Amino acid sequence: MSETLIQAVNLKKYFPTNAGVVHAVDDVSFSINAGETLGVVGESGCGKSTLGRAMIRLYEPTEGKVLYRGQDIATMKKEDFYKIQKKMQMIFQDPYSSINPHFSVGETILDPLRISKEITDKKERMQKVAQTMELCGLPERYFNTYPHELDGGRRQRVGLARALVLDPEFIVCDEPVSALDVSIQAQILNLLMDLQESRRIAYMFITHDLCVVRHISHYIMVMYMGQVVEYAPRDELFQHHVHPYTVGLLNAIPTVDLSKRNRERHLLAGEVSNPIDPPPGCRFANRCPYASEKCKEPQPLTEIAPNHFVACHECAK
Amino acid sequence: MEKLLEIKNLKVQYNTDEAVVYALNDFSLDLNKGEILGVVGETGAGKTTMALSIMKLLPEHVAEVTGGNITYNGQDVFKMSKKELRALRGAEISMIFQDPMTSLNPVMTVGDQINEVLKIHHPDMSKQTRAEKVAEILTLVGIPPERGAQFPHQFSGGMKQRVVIAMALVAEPNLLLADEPTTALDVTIQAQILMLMKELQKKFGTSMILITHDLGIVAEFCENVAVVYGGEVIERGSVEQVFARTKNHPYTDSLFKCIPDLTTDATRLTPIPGFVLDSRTAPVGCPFAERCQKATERCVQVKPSIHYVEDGHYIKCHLYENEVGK
Repeated sequence: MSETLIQAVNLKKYFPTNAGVVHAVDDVSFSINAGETLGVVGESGCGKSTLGRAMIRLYEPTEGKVLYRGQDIATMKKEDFYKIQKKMQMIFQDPYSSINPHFSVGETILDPLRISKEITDKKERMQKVAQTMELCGLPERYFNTYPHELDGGRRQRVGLARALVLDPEFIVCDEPVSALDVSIQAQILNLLMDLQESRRIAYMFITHDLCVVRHISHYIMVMYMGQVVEYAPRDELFQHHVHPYTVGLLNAIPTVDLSKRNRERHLLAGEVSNPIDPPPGCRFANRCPYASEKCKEPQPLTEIAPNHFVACHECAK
Repeated sequence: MEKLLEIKNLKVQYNTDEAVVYALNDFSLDLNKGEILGVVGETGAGKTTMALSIMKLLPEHVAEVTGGNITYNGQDVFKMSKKELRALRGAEISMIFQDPMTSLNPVMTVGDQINEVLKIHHPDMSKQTRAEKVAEILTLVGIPPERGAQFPHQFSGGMKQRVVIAMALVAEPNLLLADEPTTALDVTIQAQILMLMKELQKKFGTSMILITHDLGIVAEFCENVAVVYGGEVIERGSVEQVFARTKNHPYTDSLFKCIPDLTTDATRLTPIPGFVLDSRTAPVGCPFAERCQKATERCVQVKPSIHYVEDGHYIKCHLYENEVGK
């Protein structure tokens, strides 16, 4: 049986603004096992990036806990957290702005080692950097190269190397392949999967691309306006998804399979509504074709099949 | 079928201080009236350069057309006078850009921006008719006409792209160039916008070139497809022919293999080895030769010519030189 590595318990992150409180992440709970990938999907503004950042305490959660191997990292003292922080890393969407342009590739990858004081011996450090570069498919000659000399795919490899150099157990991947061309995207996805196999790294893979998420994830969580609407093992979600939002989302993806070309598509009307001080009840109700009076009540996540949760009173029946 | 647009052996290069970038090399493409053509390719393949060339909007001084020509409705675009070009742009051919956030004027109401198109292209139209037309097109793209008095920042991304579409269609052009029109949008909004574009295309009978990197969009939205690599069209055919995946250019084939799709069950994707072509070296052989698994010495030396494998389906690759199609 696999062990739970990281767990969110009733996690909330609110942002106060002049217009009101933005409920970016609202009461989200889930867990990720070591060596597994949780795919988090949803449209822009659904809180998936905020959730990712809150998981590694780049944002201080408003309420709730983040348990890492049973320890609550959200409320622990900063000094204690720094010791654990090395084991959780993040890679970002934009390989152009997430790397310091003044640092060479070598310096970028060396930096985490220097800050964490993980390895004190200089020679050993250099060895570790060289190893990590090789692991990420970066030839040694790039050591003194600067980011502007690299293309997007190679830069994303640098970002990945920087995250890997401290041997993390958990990596939040925030849309790591969205900015890349498809041929390069496949290289990075394969690399991520190889690394997971050899090092048992757990990923929280944030993306809006359902095809990518299906490819890489073990579990998938669908978010809508800060809340989880459906959570299931990958194949279960793709075969037996029930929440109207998941259905709409999957229907909207264009596919290269010509047999599906003339399928009847149930497209979602409307757009995501305002996340400021949302009323209780289902936040998807205003776009949902099946909405009824009962949707104005809060919709708890209900298990409808083993490990398959859905937040909809209608679907849970 | 009547040809609307004909691009013949077009060569465009960008002369920068550092290097010469060969953007289009012998780029040839035809478009029939009423056709919806998808142009697919990766970053740097020359898709946008193609679109800009058609409207002669290439940046002056930097871009240089070194060969070939573009004929629109029998007229040579490169020989047109400024006045003729003005009539061509906007009224005959209009363009939808990738980023709706930056292609609108932030200090002008959206209604005025749509109105401006009419003012320029139909100077004799009365104020009253123009206002009616604006209201009509706004309704068509799914925006309540009273929102015409609002500014772009009051619209969401999807709504802004609707405004851009309204602007592109209000003068009823014959050709619509859409350069990655939905890349910046969420999938559910993307689906809405694509449906809308298809409806309007039918209604107005506009021909359309849809530039995208997403094969799925082409499969669902277009009739025909042209695959671009290294500044040339390496495969062209109907969506049925190309997506049947029986005969494809090795590049198209590897593109199919490296996209994760909802319908396949591969555990690992097959990435294309190497990197996207560096277009700073003058092209000699097949642009894909360097990354192609089936490449021979000949591919590096000799540029393959067009080989028809089926009616209306051609592939630019030495592998198919013995095919007899039309």
